[in-house]
Amino acid sequence: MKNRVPFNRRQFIKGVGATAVLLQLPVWQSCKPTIYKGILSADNQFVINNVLQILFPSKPGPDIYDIKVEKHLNNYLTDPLIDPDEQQFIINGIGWIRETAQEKFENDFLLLSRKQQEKLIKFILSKPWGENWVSKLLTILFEAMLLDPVYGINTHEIGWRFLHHVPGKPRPENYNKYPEILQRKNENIIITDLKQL
Amino acid sequence: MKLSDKIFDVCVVGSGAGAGPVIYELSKAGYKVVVLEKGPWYRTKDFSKDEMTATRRSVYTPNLKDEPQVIEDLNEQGNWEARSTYETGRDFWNGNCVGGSSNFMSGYFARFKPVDFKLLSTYGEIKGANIADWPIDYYDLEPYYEKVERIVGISGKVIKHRFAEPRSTPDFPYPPLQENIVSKWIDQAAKSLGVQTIPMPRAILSQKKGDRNACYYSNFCGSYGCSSDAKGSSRVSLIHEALKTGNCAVIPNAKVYHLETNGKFTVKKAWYYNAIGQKQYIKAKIFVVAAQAVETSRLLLMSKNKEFEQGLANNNKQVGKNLIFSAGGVGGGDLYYDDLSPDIARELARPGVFVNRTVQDYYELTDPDTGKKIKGGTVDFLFEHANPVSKAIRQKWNDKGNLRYGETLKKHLKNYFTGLRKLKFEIFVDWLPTDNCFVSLDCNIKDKWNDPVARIRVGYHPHDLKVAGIISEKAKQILSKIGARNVYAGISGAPPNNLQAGGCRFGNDPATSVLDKYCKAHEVNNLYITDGSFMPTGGSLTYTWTIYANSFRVADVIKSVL
Repeated sequence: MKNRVPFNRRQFIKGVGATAVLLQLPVWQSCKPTIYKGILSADNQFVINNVLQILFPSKPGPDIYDIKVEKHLNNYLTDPLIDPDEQQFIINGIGWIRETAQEKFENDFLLLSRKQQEKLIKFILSKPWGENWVSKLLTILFEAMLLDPVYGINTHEIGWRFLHHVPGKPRPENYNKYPEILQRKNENIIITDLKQL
Repeated sequence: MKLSDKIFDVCVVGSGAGAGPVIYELSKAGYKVVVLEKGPWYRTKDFSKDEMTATRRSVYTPNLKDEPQVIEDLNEQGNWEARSTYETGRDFWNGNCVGGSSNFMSGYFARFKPVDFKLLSTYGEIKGANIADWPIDYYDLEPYYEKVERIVGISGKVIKHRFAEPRSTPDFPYPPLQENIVSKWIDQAAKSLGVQTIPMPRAILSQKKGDRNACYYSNFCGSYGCSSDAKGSSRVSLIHEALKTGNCAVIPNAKVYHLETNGKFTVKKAWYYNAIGQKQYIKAKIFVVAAQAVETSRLLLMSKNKEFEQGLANNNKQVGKNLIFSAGGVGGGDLYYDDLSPDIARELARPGVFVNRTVQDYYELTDPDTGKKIKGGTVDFLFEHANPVSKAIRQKWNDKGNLRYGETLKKHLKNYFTGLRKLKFEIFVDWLPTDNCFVSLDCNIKDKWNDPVARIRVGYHPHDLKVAGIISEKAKQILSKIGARNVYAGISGAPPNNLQAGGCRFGNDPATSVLDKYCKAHEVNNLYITDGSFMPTGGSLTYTWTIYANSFRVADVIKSVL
C-alpha cells in the first residue's frame, strides 16, 4: 500500500508566472536559484534554512539541525527516483519566495527580519504554489525527522524519541537500504535453486 | 542448451498469488516450469522495516516516469478525463518482484460465500451493472480454500455465525495471532448493539511451519516484506517449495510484452525484455498469465497476432472489460490515553499485536428505498498503520484545510503521536461491474520499452456507495460505543490500487466472457489466466484467498491436460 500524497504536476506552476517559468523569460532570471553539484548555493541554502526554521522551530522537540534536514533536502534534490519536476519545484519555490519578498518588502529575503519572513510565509500560503511548496517542505522535514538514522538524518533517533515512536525490526542496514537495494533490479539471472539466493 | 531452445511444460507470467499455486503444484508434479517475473528477486534478508524503502520511494514498484499508466476519471463536468499517473502521482502499481504484491499484503483473508458465486440469480439485475453468476459454485472451490489454509498457512478461529461459509474441516490449521486489548472492546461494543464480531483470519503463521518462522509482531506488516517468512507470500510459501523440486526456473527482471501464436490459436512463445533490455523468448506447451488484473489485460491486448487482430483471446472484445475492485469506504475514531487508566492505556499502546476483528452481519441488507433484500458487505477493524512519516503527513492539514506549521504543528504532532491511538475500519462491498470500469491500451503514452501503457477507466456504480453508506453508519456506532472520539467515515468510489480483479471474466458463453470455467481462454488452446482477472463479481471481501484457491484449482486442471 502506498501512503504517498498524490501531487498534481500542474500545481508546480506558479499561477500567473507559469509561462515565464516555463519559457525561462529574463524576468525570473535575476533571482532564479542554481544548484552546484546537487548542493544549493549558499544564499539559497540560507533562504531555505530560514523558511524551514519557521516551519519547524526549535521548540518543542528537535530543531532542523538535529534532524539534519539540510542533508536530507540535498539528498532529495539529487535522488534519481524523485521526479525531476518535483525537485525543480523545490528550487523554483526558493526563487519565487525571493521574488515575492521583493514585491512585498522591496528587499531580498536574505535581508528580511524574522517577523517579515513569517509574514511572507503566511502570504505565500494563500497562493496555490506557496501552499504546495510549503507542503512539500513539510514532507521533507517529516522524512528527515522520522526515517531511519541509517540515512544520516534523525540523529540519535531524536525525531523518534520526540514522538515516542518505536521502530520496527529488523532495521535497515547499509546493504539493504535505499538506494543500494535497487541493484537487484539490474540482476540478469535465472534462479533454479534456493542456494543461489 | 540455450533457454530459448528448450520447450517447457508450462511458462508462467507473473509470480504473485495467482501464479504461485500453479508454479508449486506443477513443479511438485514433475513438470518443467519457467516463471517470467517482471520485477527482481528480493530475498527475505533484503526486507527491513524501513519506511523509506517500503513506501517513500518507488523501490518495490516501478518508477512512474519509466512505467506510467493512464487513469480515466469522471470530472466535474461529467466527462471522462484521462491523465497519466506520472502527471498525477496516483500510483496504481503494486509489488513488482518475485512473489508480487503478496509480499506486501496485510494478509486479511476471507473466503467468498456461496451467495457470491450467484449474485445475479440471488438478488437479480441492477440497472447499469453487468452482474453475472460464476460458472462454478462455492463447493467447487471449497477444497482449494482448505488447501490454502494448509499450504500457504492461515491462522484464525472458526466461529458460528449467520453468514459462515460451509467448511470441510472444523477449524484453521494455525491458532489466532495475538490480539490487542481493543479487540475485546470491539467484541463488547458490538455485542451490546446486537452485532456479532468474528476473528479475522490472517495469512500469517502463528506457529512455525517448515523453514518459515512464526510471526514476531514487528508492528510493520502491510506494505512491508516479512522478515520471519510468517506472511504467506507466494514467494516463501509456494515458490521456495517449487524450487526445491529442481523442476522450476525463475527469471526475475523479465518483462513479458508479447505472447506469440502459431496461426492455429495456440501460444508458442512468450517474448520478454530481460534485465538489460534484450528481447528474449521462452517456448512452452502451456502458458499461464497472472500479472495482476490490469497488466494481464494489457498483455493480452498488446499481443496482437494474425488470428487475434484485437489482442490475444479478444475476438469477442471482452478482454479488459468489467474490471472490479474491492472497496467501499474507510472510517475511524480516536482512542485517547487520557480517557483510560495508565495500565489500560499501556495495553492499548502495545505495538505489534493485532486487532483482527471483522463484522459480517451486514452481508445481506434491506434496501431502505425498496424494502427488498440486497447484497451488503463486511467491515474490518484495524489500527492506523504505524508508518511515522505517513502518519505525520496526514496531520499536515487542520480541520479548516489549512497547513499547520511552526510551533502549532510540532505540538499537534506530539499530541497526536503520544496522546491517542486511531482505530480504523474498512468497508468492503461488491464493486459492481459496469461498462465504465475497464482496461484498454493508451494510444499516446508509452513505457520505457516504447510499449503502450494500460489505460484504466475507474467508474463505479452508485449502488456501491449506497450499500457502503448503510454499513458505515453501523460501524461508526461500534466505534462510538467503545468510546472513540472524532468518529468519522468516508464513503468513496475511488478504487484501491492493490485489490483489483476482473478484466478477463470466466463464464460459459464466449460472447460475454474471456475464459471458460477452467480459466482457459475460450479462443486459445493453451492459455490460462489465474490471477483475479477471472472474477465476474468480487464478493464483499478481499480477493487474495480466492485468487490463491482458484489458482490451485486451475493447477489441477492443467495437470489433467498435460
